[in-house]
Amino acid sequence: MNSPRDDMRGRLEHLAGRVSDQWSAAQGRAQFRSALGQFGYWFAAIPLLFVLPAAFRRWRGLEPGYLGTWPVLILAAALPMALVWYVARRRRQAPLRTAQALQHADQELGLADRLSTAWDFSARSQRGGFEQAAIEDAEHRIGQAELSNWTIADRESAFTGALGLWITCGLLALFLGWKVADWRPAAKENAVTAQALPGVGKAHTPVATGSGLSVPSSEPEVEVPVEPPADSPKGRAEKAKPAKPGDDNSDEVKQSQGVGGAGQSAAAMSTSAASQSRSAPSSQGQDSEQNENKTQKPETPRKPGAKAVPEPEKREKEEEDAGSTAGKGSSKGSNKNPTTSSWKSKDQVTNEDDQEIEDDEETEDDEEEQESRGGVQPHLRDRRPPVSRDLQIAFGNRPNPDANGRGGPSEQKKSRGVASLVLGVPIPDRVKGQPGKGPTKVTQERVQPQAESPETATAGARQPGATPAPLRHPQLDPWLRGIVRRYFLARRQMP
Amino acid sequence: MNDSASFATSESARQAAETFRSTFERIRSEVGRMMVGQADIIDGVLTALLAGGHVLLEGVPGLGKTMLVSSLGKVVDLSFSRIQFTPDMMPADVRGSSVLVDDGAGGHSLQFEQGPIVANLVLADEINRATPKTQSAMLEAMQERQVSVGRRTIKLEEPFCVMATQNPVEQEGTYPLPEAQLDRFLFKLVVGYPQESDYKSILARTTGQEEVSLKKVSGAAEILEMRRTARAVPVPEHVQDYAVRLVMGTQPGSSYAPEIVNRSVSLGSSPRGAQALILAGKVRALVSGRFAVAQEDIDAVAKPVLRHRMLLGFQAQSEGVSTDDLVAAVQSQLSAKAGARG
Repeated sequence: MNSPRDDMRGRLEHLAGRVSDQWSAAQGRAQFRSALGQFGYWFAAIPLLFVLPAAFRRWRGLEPGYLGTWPVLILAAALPMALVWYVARRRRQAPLRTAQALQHADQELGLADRLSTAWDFSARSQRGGFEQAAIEDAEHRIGQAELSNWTIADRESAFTGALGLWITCGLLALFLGWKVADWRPAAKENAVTAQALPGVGKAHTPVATGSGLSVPSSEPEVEVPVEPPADSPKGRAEKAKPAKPGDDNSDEVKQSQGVGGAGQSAAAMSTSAASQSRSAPSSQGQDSEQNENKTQKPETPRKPGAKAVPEPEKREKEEEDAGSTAGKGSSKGSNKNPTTSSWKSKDQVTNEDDQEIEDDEETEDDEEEQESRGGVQPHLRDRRPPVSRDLQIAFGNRPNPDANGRGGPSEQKKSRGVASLVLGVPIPDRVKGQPGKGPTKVTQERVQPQAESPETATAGARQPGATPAPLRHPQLDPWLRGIVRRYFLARRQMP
Repeated sequence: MNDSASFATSESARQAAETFRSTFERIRSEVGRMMVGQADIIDGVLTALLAGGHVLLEGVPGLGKTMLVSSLGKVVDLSFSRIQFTPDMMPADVRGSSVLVDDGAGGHSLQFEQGPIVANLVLADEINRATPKTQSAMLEAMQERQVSVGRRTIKLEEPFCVMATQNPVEQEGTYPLPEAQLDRFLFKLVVGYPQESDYKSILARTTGQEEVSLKKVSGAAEILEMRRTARAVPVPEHVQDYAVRLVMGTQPGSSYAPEIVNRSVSLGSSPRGAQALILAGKVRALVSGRFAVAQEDIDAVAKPVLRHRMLLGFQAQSEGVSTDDLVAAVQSQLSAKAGARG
């Protein structure tokens, strides 16, 4: 048969179990909210992981390759929640011990440690009158605690605002992704429009997409010039011009190069135009040759990465080709042009292997060039940067590594006077003091002392700074001055 | 007296606790007739008296510090003496000295004359105006409850309680109490200004024709019995742990010290602080009608117990950090840890 004390301990234990369960649940919720606040940015980061590459590909003129709004939405919601659930589960602590749970119950019910004290005292073998009185006092409160319908309050967490912000950012990113994905149907629509032209249904032609891509059609039988999409610059340029079926191809070439080759000379333009027409890397060259090559074999589809040369880059390349034509009149002109050669950088090359390789390659060229100039010429590439004029003698205890005897003091000067002509004889620097100064001569003269009228000193108040040894006020650092000031202010303000 | 024998049953404990509480209430209400608007200070002084400690009262002039102590001496019917500390006071003026007296036969003899320290309630008024040499004359009396003069040792009669006052302003010409002496005070109570509503009562009682006469409520024997009762109050394990952690939290570098303590405190509380926390907590538990010390009792007495046991560093003084702020920081950190883990 259980004693009253055992019965009370059993009730306390039961109550503690209930508190522990509630505490675990509250703690689990708190951990979940904490992890949610910690990883909330994933709600925005995951859509961005899909949207940004798609937007970048679109900017580069490629297919956006967007996964789609719903898959991204599902991933953006499911992945963070799974991670948060995992982290919260990992952070869950062990259930409370009985004493700890009773302390929580005391705190929640405002019992001033009565339950936990009773649990402690009831376990003691020897109990005095006060311990027994404390246990009896707690017995009345146990029933109150058992009957009360209380819960452990969740702690406040300030994650709501941040989480809402991240979810909003994620939704915005999803919207952007939807817009990015919407660009692709527009491009396809243009392709479909081109196929729907009369007599074009079974044409085999590279379909100019909005991104400038050439997509071969499935049945290569008839080739028809296809109008580029309206949103591309090229398309806009051609839309402005009325379509003339009998136009000459050269006009088209000039028209198309008027965009890309503005400011170039006629020769350069013609050269670059010819090179463009030969390489045909872009839609411009492609358009210029379309009518000429109608009967040619259809082009094999190229990889988007290799084909997609952006417009600015191509323009730069054209300008570069046109401008370097004069320099490339000679086969070695580009390397030997003194205005373009970087002898300084060559002299400062630290990788000896690279320099040797260059020397081997250019030795024969240099010899030929020297012969053509009438004799042996100093190699420009042998020039060295000017020596250091740093007058610093040493770096700490180490000698100056840059001191080469030509600038500033150093241990040995070997480039002065005749001695410098003798190879391998270092001459120490002996320019010290004044040589041959001679003995010191002291001359004494007899002079009669003359009386001088002393100035009368009048007594008066001492002026600031007139002390015989003026006090020095060391300039303290601002932070130390602030501390001293605050200290004395605090001393003064003490009640 | 053996406490376990005195309070062997819960009934005797209940009766002793009830007696304690009622006597405490009577003393408090009687002193409160004279001292208006300072209930916390009265509670603190009474708690220190019943816990067997000494009190340091700090406040600006005119708040009734001296009147509180003298009123308490009248209410509890204890021998009361007052020492007005001045810079020229010597230790012999506190402890007593031998004086020449006429023996009646034409001769003279040396006779020991006890100093004012030999009393139950000693009011050390403006204790910080005495030199450290004179202040240290109180050390032995406060800790050992005895006074040594020459070869003579005088046991001080219990209950013995020193209630010292000091003025926080007018620091010129004063000698701050050394740490060793500060540590011997159970409480340091800061006496503040009364509320607006209390001013009318103060004016009515002090400026009218009516004179407040205090009556004796208890004597030395009852005070001693209350002290025994307070000592018998048990302390649960977790409350003892909390008191220890609270004291350790004031020590810079300890695992319970928050960052502000590590940054601001040069010297933390000694174990004497933990003893004071428990003793004062026992008295407060009885006054609250409980039979064991709770954590809230420790929290309630933490500031008066610990505020004078911490030595602040220069930076803390320059930043205006008070010891009360530091105690609150330690308490909040301990509560946060307890709340996080249970």
